[in-house]
Parts: sequence; C-alpha cells; structure tokens
Amino acid sequence: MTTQPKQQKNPPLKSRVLNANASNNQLVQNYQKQVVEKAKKDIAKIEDEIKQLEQAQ
Amino acid sequence: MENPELIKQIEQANNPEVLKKILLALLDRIESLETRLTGLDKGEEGNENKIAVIAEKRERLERIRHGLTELNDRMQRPYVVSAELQAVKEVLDVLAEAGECNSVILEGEPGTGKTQWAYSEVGQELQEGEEVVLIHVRVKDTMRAQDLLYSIDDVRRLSDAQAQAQVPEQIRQEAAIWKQKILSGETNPADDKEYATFKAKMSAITELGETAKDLDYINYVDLGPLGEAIYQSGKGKRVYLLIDEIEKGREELMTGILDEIENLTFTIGETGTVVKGDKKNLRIVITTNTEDSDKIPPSFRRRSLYHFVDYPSRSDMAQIIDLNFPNIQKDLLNYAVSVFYQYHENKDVQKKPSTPELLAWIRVLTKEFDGTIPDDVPHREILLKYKEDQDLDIGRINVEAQAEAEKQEGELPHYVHKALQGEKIYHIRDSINSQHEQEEFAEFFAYLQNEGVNYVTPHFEEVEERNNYGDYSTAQKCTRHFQIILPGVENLGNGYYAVPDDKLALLGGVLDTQTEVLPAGQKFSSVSEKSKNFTKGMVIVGGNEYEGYMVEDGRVVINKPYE
Repeated sequence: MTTQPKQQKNPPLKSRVLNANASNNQLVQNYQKQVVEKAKKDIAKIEDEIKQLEQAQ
Repeated sequence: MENPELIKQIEQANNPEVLKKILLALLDRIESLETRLTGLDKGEEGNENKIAVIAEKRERLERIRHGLTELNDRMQRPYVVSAELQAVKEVLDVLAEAGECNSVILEGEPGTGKTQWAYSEVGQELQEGEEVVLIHVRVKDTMRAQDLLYSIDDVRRLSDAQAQAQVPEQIRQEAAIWKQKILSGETNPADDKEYATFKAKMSAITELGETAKDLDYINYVDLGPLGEAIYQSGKGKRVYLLIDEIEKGREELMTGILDEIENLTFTIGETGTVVKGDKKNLRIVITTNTEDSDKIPPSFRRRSLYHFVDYPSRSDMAQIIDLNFPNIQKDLLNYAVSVFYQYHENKDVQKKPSTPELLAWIRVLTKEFDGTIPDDVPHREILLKYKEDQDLDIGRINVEAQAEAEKQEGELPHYVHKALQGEKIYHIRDSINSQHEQEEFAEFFAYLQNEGVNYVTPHFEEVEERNNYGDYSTAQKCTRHFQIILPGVENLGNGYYAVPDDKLALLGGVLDTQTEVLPAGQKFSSVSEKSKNFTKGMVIVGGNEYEGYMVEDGRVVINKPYE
C-alpha cells in the first residue's frame, strides 16, 4: 500500500526580496527625513552643550 | 556648517539626492563639533570628570554619525531573505503577539547581512504603510546597561533653574555654581552626595508654580536606545531595536539588560516613573559575529530565538547580484558567482570573501567587462585580504583547462592524468556544443538553472568558410563551449569532467562515457600513436574495442559508455 504524503498546512517558504524599490518609495523617504530632522535637533543640543563647556573653560 | 537654503529645500522637496546632501552637511557639522571637543580635551589630563563629560558628548555625536551613515547606506537597499530566516521571523511574530518572546539573536560571519536584514525589514514595512521605527545600537565595550535605558540631563536642568524668575534667588545662584562644577569636571553628578541634597531641594520647588513645574526631572530624561524602544512600543508604535555586535559589550552589559528585554519595563529612579513597553509592538534583533559569539551568556541566549545566518545560497546570491546590477550580463554573473563559491568552498582560504566584497568586485568588473570571461581572477585585492589567499591557484573559471587541453596535443590528455590519480572522470556528449542539437539540451539547461548550478551555454557565431570547390559559404561555429561551473566538479577540457559521486546525478543525462583505469597486461588490437610517455591505440576489453592510453607503468585508460 502506498501512503500519500500529508498536505502541509503552510507551503514551504522560499527566499524572497524585501524592500525592493525602496529608493523610489515616498514612505521610506519620509521616514529618512524624520530621522534626519531628529538628528538635526540632537546635534543642535550637543552644540549648545559644547558651547557651555567652552564658556566654562 | 548647515546651509539654510539647503535645509529649506529638504523640507520642501522629496528628492533622495537632496536628502543625501543634507545628511552629508550634518556629518560635516558633527566633524566640526568633534574638533571643538578635541580642543576642550587639551589640558584636562587628570580631570576625570571633565574628560568623562567630553567623552560622553563625543560618544553621542558618534552615535548620531553612525545612525545617519547607516540610514544613508542601508535604508533603501533591497535584501534577499532566505527561507530559513523568514521562517524564524514568522515564529518571532507569533511569540511576540502572544507576549512570550520578541527577540532574536542572529549569528554569522561579517558581511552575511544580519544588520541589513533589520533595515530591509523596516523598509519593507514602511513601504507597506506601517508606522515603524528602527533604533540601531552599535555596542561598544565602554557601554553600560544604564546608557541603554536613560540618562538625566543635569546641566540643562540647572541652566533652566538659573534662568527662571520664579525660582528663589538663592537656588538660582546655587544652580549656577553646581552647573559650573559639573561642566568643569569638579564633580560627577551621579555620585556627589551634596549635589543629591541640592537636587532634592530643587525638586521641592517644582511645587511652587506652573513655570517651576517645568523643572520636573521627567522633562530632563534622555532615553537611551533600549529605553526609547520600550517607551515607544508602550505608546503603540511598532519598533525594531537592533542591538548590533553584542559580543563587543561587557558581560555586565548583557546581564544588565536581561530583565528589561524580557519584561520591557524599567523605572526612572529620579522620578519614580515606570516605563512599560509592549511585546506585540517591539522586535529586538541582536546580532553577533561568529568569532566571539561565545561571549554571550547562556542566560541571555535563553530569552531569545537564535538563528545562524549563513552565506546566501548560489541562487540567492545570483538574485542579490541581479538586484544590485539589474543589467549585468549573464556570463559575468555566472562567472562572479562561480569565483565567489570556489573561494568559499576552498578550505585553504583563510578569510573568505563576504557579500559586500563580492558586490564591490562586480562593480569593478562590470566597468571593464568586454564580453570575455576573464581567464583568471582580476582585482583579487577586493575579494581576498591575505597574501596567501591571493596566491592560491583557485577561483579560476576553467576556461584555462580548455586551453591547456588544446596546448597538450601530442601529449597525454589532462583527463588521463586525472584518471590515473584516482579521479572519477566522465565525458559530456559532444553534441551539446552543436548548434542543431540545442533544442535537445534546453531541458537540461533548465534543470541546471532550477538547481542553482552555474553553467555557460554554448555560444555560436556566423563565420565564413571556404568549401572544397573554393566557394565561400557561411556557417555557425561554436565559439564558446558548454561549461558547468560547480564546486568539486573540475573541467578538464574537451568535455571531460572530474565529477564526485554526489554531483553525478546533475550530469547523468548528458554523459556519454566514463573513464576506467585498467591494470597492466591489456592487449592492443591496433596502435595509432607511440611516444616516450604513452602508447595510444585500440584495446579489447570484454569483447569490445575501446580507444585507450597505456602509460609507462603498463596501466591502460579507456572510455567506456556511461551507464
């Protein structure tokens, strides 16, 4: 007697491409802009602290 | 320094190039601030507090620089995620949803794409419209668990206290003195008891009025990356926390964040505020290089999933190359993949090339490629970083074997040498290089393609030929023969291959002979060539006649039909 292989619930995964076309994607670019904006604020804050350090010198 | 016009542009335009420019301008600004910090460092020898204050600022600048550089380099890159890693991600999502486990340790050699995966996952989710944040921590040996959670900005608080009219004059004056002490390095705010007393006094004034309330500690908390990730996830935001190269941290760092990673809760001591996260929203990706991965304590591993990120398979690598070089010629792609894996599968190579090195190499090759596959491996300096590795005679696509075979006419063929050395030799049907027979082999080529095997199909060109009557006619000539490029399979020229048993199934359908070495004492029925090293002629074996080569020790090499 031959046995049939059981039907798998989920088909086996294959490798796939993530983040294709990100360079043209507005949402990805918006995110990058947000990060850059936050970095600008953080840098300004450090600059201010350095100024205080220099004044305290 | 920043160009205000440029900033305006970036705020208005959605051009990635402009974004890049502003990013580079910020990196310049960081550099100039670092130079100023170096100026402050001078003459502070022995003042440990001051040096620590400067170092802390340098560290923060470095973190921002790294974040911006990585954002620029990685955020828009596509990524071929293996089936195995996808499966791990699915398990992680299920467990995180159930509130059980939301972290995964990715171990692998440098350049296998562990860090890039996190960036590309985030990029993918952004593209799908998810609101998601990536927080990237590059671990250093100086890092403390506390740095990852939060810090209090004492100087800013003291400055604000000094500036507020509602604060009693005496406290304002004291605030000015303490600020000076902290900035000059005279005291370390973290362990000065007198300062602690002053802090308590200052905290009491927050009850005085609305403005003074602004001095509440909660306004001066700077969350570290783990603290931020926990906080944001608790607020319902989807977050990926990437803790990169954790093995570079001290054990105290790893054990110090165990509870926070597991329970997603921590308390800000100064304010008593409890910050709670939500496992459903937070994925923690921890990467480690194989070399030092044993530094990760078992207690840390126990709380995470684990996946070993291997180098991509051949077919995935071909896809990676294709994504990065959409117009690459197939021959060059096959050649590059072949060379890469020949280096990878050679145990003598000390430092195997990584995927980024392969891509850099291809970038150079594509500029130089004139349609001819190189005989050798040009620009090894991109792939191999040890002299011994560069000197290894491997990584050649066996174009040279063909040339060698032709050069050796009149000498014992290369495949006979190999057979005598004990290699298993097979011959691929000559018809594979006939233009009229290509249809017959199309399925075989498809089979190789689907199996992820690299190969080169025969190439034909129209040439003018003169027949016996002196007339010219055009004919198709095979200018490039079929070649299979497979680790462990050696192309010996003229259609002969040394094929190990485990690879034989791939070629079985197109083989016509297998080479056999017979012991001395065989009889020739005819001899066509006799030289110093061998005798060539027809040998009778089992009632059948085969062409054979007899060598000096009397052994005879024949080609029998492949069964």
